[in-house]
Amino acid sequence: MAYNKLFLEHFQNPRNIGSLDNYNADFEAENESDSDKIRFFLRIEEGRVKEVSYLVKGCPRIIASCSYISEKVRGLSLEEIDKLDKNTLRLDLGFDENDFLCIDLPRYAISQAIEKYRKNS
Amino acid sequence: MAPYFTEKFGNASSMHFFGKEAKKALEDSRNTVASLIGAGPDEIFFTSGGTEANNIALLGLARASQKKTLFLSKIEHEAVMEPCAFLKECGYRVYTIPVDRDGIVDLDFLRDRIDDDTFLVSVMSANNETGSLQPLEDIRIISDRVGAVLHTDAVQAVGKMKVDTEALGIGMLSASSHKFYGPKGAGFLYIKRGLHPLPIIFGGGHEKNVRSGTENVPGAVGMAEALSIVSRSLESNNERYKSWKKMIIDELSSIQGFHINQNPGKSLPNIINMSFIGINGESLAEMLSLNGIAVSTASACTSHKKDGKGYSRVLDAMGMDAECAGSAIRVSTGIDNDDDQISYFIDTVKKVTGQLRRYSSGI
Repeated sequence: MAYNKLFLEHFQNPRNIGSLDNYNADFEAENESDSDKIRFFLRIEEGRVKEVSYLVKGCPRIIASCSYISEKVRGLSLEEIDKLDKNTLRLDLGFDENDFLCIDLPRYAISQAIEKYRKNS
Repeated sequence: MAPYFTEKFGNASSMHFFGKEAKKALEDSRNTVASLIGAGPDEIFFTSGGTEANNIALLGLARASQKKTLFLSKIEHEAVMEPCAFLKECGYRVYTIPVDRDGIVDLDFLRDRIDDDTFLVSVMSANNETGSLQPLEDIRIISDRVGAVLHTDAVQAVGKMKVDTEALGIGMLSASSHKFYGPKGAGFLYIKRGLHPLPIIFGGGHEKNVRSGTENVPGAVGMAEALSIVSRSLESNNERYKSWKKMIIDELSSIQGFHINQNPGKSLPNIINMSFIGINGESLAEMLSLNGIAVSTASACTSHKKDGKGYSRVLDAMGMDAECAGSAIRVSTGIDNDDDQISYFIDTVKKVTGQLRRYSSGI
């Protein structure tokens, strides 16, 4: 499939990849049918995402999505992250509707990590 | 080939001198193709490619036969699978022959089920994903016992291995020009003398009423020339492919999770199907593409696949688990490759598999 420039940039040079030593929120998500697996780490301070990283195993779109979303959420408040629109993220990366899961998985992992954080704090 | 697009533009079915010139080129091409696969020129029928040749063979023979049973292997290309699915919808009894872990058809399955109602057995010569070579002679012997015709989709094999229709005793054989460096949009169907599949395209009765439609003269000329060229260097090409295959497998087998998805001794020398377990095949193929290397993968998100599986149905048929199949890539070497490119490929695979492995290290 043809990819846009933003996608290629994030797939070739994924940002914020790796684990985070001082995280205080994390979540591992999996799409069993495609053997995709990701784990997001967040460092949340004063209601904002101070640092973010992830590990990812999956297709090019999952890798690019994780990278793009990690850039998007850094510095945002938890409420602002709640409002991030999956469809806008999908369109930014030039994905068609079949690729919705590729955006949904990292978005879901981040939401669940925040949910866990909220419950524990 | 080029002059037949411009100054030698006659219609091979026309009576005038332009037409006669085109007709001669067409028949010369037919003679060339026939001589290179152990056939007579009257047994070669030009088509638009492998898909059309397969459709004529399967549907045309079904139309011509009173019998209602046919066999195909589980790893056939869609150009065979889909016409057979159509025949099933039309009430034919269709058996799918399973394959073993090397992707070779189960002869016992065929032997146990074939009966007097069987008119056709269709098994590809070599698989397009794994290169697995099928025991066509054994299949032909089994088919002969009940008078069934053996058809083979030889799209991957023609131009890559010696094909001798007479020695094999095969009934029909499909081939596609671009698979042996000829022009796209050209192919042929070999039909053994005495077999008469009925047409599935109706029109002016070209190609002895097997395939109506104005003949693609430049395509046929280009195809015959290409087949002639690759046939002359078949052995030397295959020696190079074999040495590259060995080199690639030897070098890459040290990579964590490496798995070879074929029996190297029972597959085409130019095709290597391998997995790097723990790495997504599509990501690996895309990374290689960004590094100027074109490989194939049947792995894709399930949402993109018609069968709802995120990996190859051929590897699935071979009993491979989803993890291994989802990390598979297929590498095809060809006449334009050289030793430096193979070394670059090996180095790049080592680099990008390491990179992708680091992305997921710890999960």
